[in-house]
Amino acid sequence: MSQTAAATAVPRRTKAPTGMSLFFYRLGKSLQTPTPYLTLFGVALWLFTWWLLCEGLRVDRFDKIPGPVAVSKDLFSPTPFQGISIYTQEYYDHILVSCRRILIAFSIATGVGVPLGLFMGWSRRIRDYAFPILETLRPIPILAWVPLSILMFPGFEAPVIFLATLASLFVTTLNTMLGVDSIDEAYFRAAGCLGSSNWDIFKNVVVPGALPFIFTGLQISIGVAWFSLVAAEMVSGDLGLGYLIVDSYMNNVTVPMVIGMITLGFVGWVTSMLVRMLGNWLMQWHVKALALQGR
Amino acid sequence: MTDIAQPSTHAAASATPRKRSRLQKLWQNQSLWRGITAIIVFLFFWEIGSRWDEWFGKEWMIPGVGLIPPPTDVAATWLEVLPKVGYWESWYSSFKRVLSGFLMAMLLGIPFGLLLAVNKYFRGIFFPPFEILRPIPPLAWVPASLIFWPTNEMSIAFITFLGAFFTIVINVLGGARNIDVRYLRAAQSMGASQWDLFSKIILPGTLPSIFTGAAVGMGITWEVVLAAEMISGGGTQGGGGLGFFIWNSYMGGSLEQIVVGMISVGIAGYLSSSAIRMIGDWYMPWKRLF
Amino acid sequence: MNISTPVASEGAKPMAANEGRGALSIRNVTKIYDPEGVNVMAVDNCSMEIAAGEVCMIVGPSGCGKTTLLNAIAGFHSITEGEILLDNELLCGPSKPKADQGAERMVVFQHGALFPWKTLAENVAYGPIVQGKLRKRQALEKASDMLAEAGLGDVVTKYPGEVSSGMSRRAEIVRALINDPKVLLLDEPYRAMDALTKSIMHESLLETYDRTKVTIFFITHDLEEAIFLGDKVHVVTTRPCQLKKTVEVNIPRPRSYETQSSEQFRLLMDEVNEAVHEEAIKAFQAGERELA
Repeated sequence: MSQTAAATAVPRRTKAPTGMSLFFYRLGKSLQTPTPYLTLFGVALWLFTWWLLCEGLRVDRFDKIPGPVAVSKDLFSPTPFQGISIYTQEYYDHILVSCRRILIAFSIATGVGVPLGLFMGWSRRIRDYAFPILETLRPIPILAWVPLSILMFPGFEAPVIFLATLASLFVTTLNTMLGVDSIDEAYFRAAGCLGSSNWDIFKNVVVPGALPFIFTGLQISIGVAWFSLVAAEMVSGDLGLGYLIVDSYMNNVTVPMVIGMITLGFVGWVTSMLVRMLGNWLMQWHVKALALQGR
Repeated sequence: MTDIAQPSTHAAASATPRKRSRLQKLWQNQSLWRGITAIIVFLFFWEIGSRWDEWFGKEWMIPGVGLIPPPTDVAATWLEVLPKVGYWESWYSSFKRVLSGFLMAMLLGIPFGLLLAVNKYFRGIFFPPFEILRPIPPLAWVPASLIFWPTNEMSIAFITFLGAFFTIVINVLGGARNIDVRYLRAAQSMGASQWDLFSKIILPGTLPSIFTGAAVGMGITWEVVLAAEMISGGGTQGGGGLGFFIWNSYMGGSLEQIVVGMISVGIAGYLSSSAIRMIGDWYMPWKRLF
Repeated sequence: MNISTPVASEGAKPMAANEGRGALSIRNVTKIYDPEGVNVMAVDNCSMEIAAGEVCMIVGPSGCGKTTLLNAIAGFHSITEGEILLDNELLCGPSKPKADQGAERMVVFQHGALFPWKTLAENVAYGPIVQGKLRKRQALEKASDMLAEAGLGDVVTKYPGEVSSGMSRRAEIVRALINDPKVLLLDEPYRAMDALTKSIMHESLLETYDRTKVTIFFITHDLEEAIFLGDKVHVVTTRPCQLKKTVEVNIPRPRSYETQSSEQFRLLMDEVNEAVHEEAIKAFQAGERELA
């Protein structure tokens, strides 16, 4: 009797909170730990050091770099002193151009790299033929392709996109292949036992089994794409964030240069975030299993 | 019923090890032959693709590929360049830059990563700014560092360092945080001090990640050195390098030399990452078993 | 050769669809691996007869080649010599070293091989769908019904990563049974489980067996499990794997956990234990690493 009474008083297991209440629960929990305060302190310390070196004390050489005050003044002013702010159309033009290039390059690289990697992982024969060629080309740094791609492709747009595509293609293909390698042999055997055709195995084992690795690869690949895009835009470009940085340098305006760097970091972070979210959405099984392991 | 008692005549014969020599095994390796075939076919198509316009006239030129010099021409140019001192000086200066930046990144990155992993408060304070700066591609730092550092050489070294630093730190941090708690508890129960835990468990436990980070960082370092040499080196005060070799060939319009430069950089990068792998194998004998 | 005599016929129910099929003959099978050019003999001239509807337990030390035998039956590996027949049809033999994989021989794997990217219902429905026996919707309905029958009605839409290992192993057996196999091949399926979960799994497997009378080829090194579940216990030697001794388990079915405390059970345990222990010592001293 007393046991049942106790059971009704404190429910054995409460229902998991969802939506907003889950968010507030997590927020409340995290505010009880030192982490958010340390984070705030760390960022503040970093900003303060930057300010102190560049603007406060004006240490020699640091004074050539704009400090946080100068940058934020320009960034949030409708009439920026050095030409670029969140109110100017030009700023968004640069972002849009870079993002469009990344989108094209990333789509091509994913569209080619994922199937190629899947087939290379799946078929011994395809791997034997394709892998050596890939491995011969891969050690050549993407930047070494810059002059050749400028010569090979006409205009500003094509070489830049080519370089970004090439960079992410290698990463995506290799990671996808490793992803297929990582699939436990037992799943192939189980699928074989259950009477699958080769196509069934490809669809139901190879593709979903490699997905976690594919998405890890895609996150790296989009980072690499940004990396080479910036390089390409700096060498040959007419617009884009990389161009903004190098153009400001040429024209001796340092604030837009720093704005370009910050924006690049932010946009790059957002894109890799989007890739991760897409991956989580596609791999509910993976996310749920990891969550139960407490990760 | 089937006769179970039948003596197994084959057993003695086939249980003895049938060893094949290493050369024999290499010869019989199907993957190797397929790889060689693939590369020969690739070179063959490259040759045909780029010679197409020579044979059938300019109007038949294959876009893109047609402009690339054929492999035979590249080989000829390479042979021409090989004995020249300038070519090897480019190798030397690129290697010097890569090594100095890379070593600096290792020297600062490993302790920083370990500190982040070991100390909760240190991580809480220094990880967020690190994460804010990390997404900025290293090359975006080029102009800023050109302004900041007095010489070109120093700014190249700085960017090179930066490129490898972020990767190494992230890998060290991940590796150190992934060490199985059981190892630490086992060591503690055997009476290990804090320093013992650090030097006997955390450091060797992180070694594999350090080498992974180093291999990736080495790749990035080459990219960055090349870019820096192309963008800033320009020949005036930066002392050449393979990036400059490529850029110079581009300016001089020698396509063959561009490809020679590309292949040279590829070889250089490959040598560097193999060196890291070898050192890794040598330092981590327990990993070799698998 | 008289293999068509069903051994366990006393509990024959009308729904026992497997009556009279699923007889497995393993004759003089030898398997030699040669990794790195050094030959390793995993199975040496091993023969055994498994009658239709029999629960056959294979007991032997770790890494002795039991799994190799199972893999040969399932068609994952080739055999070097000998032949394996299912209902007098040749699976593999001298002319055809590797058996085809097929749904009449279903494997339940050591570490479990439910596809982690499919829900339990989708996993169970997978076989009938890819074999083209059922449409997707019907298959999913049937899968949910069968899972509910096995006591998994609440978790049909969960992923394997979200349920306990006992549940997922049970679901894996359901995934095998939905294909109406002739033989169920189980490779130490309960190895990683604690004793309490294990006993529940045993009862559920026995219940399933009493219902379907499917032939079971069960690899284990848990002697109690072997005697509790099996009709026959085949003790095999350490690598290379050879049949050492066959112990008939004449405990009547249906069995329950009380069976394990009976005198008869204890005597059988002693008999099997004696045969296995010697082999276990040999295997331990050899100290070879298990083959995958």
